[in-house]
Amino acid sequence: MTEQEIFESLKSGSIENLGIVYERYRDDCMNWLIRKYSCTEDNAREVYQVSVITLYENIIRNKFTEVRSSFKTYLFSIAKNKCMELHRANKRNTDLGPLMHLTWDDVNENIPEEQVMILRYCLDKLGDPCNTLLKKFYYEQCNMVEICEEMGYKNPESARNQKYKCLQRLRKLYRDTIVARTG
Amino acid sequence: MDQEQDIQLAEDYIKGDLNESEKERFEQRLKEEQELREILEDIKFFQNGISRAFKKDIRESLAAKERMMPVFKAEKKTSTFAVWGYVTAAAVIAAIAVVYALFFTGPQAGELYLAYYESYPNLIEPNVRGETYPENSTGAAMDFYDRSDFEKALNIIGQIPENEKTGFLYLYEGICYLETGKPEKALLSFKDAQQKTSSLNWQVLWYSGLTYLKMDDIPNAQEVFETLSESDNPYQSNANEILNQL
Repeated sequence: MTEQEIFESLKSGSIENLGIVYERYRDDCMNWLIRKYSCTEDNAREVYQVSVITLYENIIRNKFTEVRSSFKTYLFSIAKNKCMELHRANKRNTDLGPLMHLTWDDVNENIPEEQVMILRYCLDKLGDPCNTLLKKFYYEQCNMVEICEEMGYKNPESARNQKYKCLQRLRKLYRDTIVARTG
Repeated sequence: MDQEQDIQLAEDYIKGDLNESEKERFEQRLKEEQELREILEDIKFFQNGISRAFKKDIRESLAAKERMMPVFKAEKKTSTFAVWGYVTAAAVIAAIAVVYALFFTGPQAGELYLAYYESYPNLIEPNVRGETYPENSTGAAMDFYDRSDFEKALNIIGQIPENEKTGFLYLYEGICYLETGKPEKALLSFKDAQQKTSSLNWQVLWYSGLTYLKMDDIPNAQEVFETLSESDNPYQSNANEILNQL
């Protein structure tokens, strides 16, 4: 599969072929991080995984718009930055485990893992089209025009209205689930 | 205002899409309306939570992929002794090559340069028909590069601030210097390219080797092509061919 084909499939939001990218460059990138930036093997693996996800996010969010050089070049530059970030964080605070500092999430709010799990469950329960619509809007950061085109809504206003309904359903489902769990 | 509009406003506020007066009005309402504060907190939570939930899926799929792959084995680091061994070997080979070159006449270095040199394709700003680029931008420089107007490309690259130059741009700068007959400057640009972007290592070595050929500096060219011939890389077979002819 060519890089262009992989790029197109990732751009559509599918993660099916992200594994190919992961497999293709894992050894080269991890060895490079270990050799050049003195990462431990565990840190190199962690940095590499974060970098592959960042690559995917940059593709779906239109920050990486075409395969100009190669995935490898781009991926390695992300990995280098993540590795620097990790080293800087380690210098600032050596008490915490180094991996605690790596930005898995580009959000400031620290939502407990359990709540993320409940949200995941609620999104599944919500089903489509809400699941996909909310993913496109909040995770992929698509605008309403893009969502309208990709999901076949009449116009952006209909898509916006549907998104509002989906969010309201999710909020209710989440609250009901929390109440049910706490008894 | 109904809740749907407030949610929209809260999302725009978080994204920074409100203009100054809308932002002021929204913040004033936040001070006064408990319900709006709750909506804002709620939107922040769902926005971040939904993102994290989907990201978690990807992490898990990569972790599953990792489990299915062969176990990663780190390459052994080359010891300092071995490095010096290689350097010595390269120096000996280079010396032998010089002696060989003195007694056997093969193609001149300059001829080899001409036979193997091709400018590196523009991979960073492919030329789009009809597109105009901002003055002194990488796009403008690469537009001239594509049109083989290397002097003008160099002139623009020279005006791009150092901290905005990428490894690729330094590589192209070096090639422009080569094309305009300034090989010494080309070598400096290639060095900068390597420092900025280590993944350009093979390209930098290849063009540095060719630059040495152009300068008729056989020992240095030999050493560079030896390095290229020792590893699996896109220039390996060309490097071997050149070494056979030097």
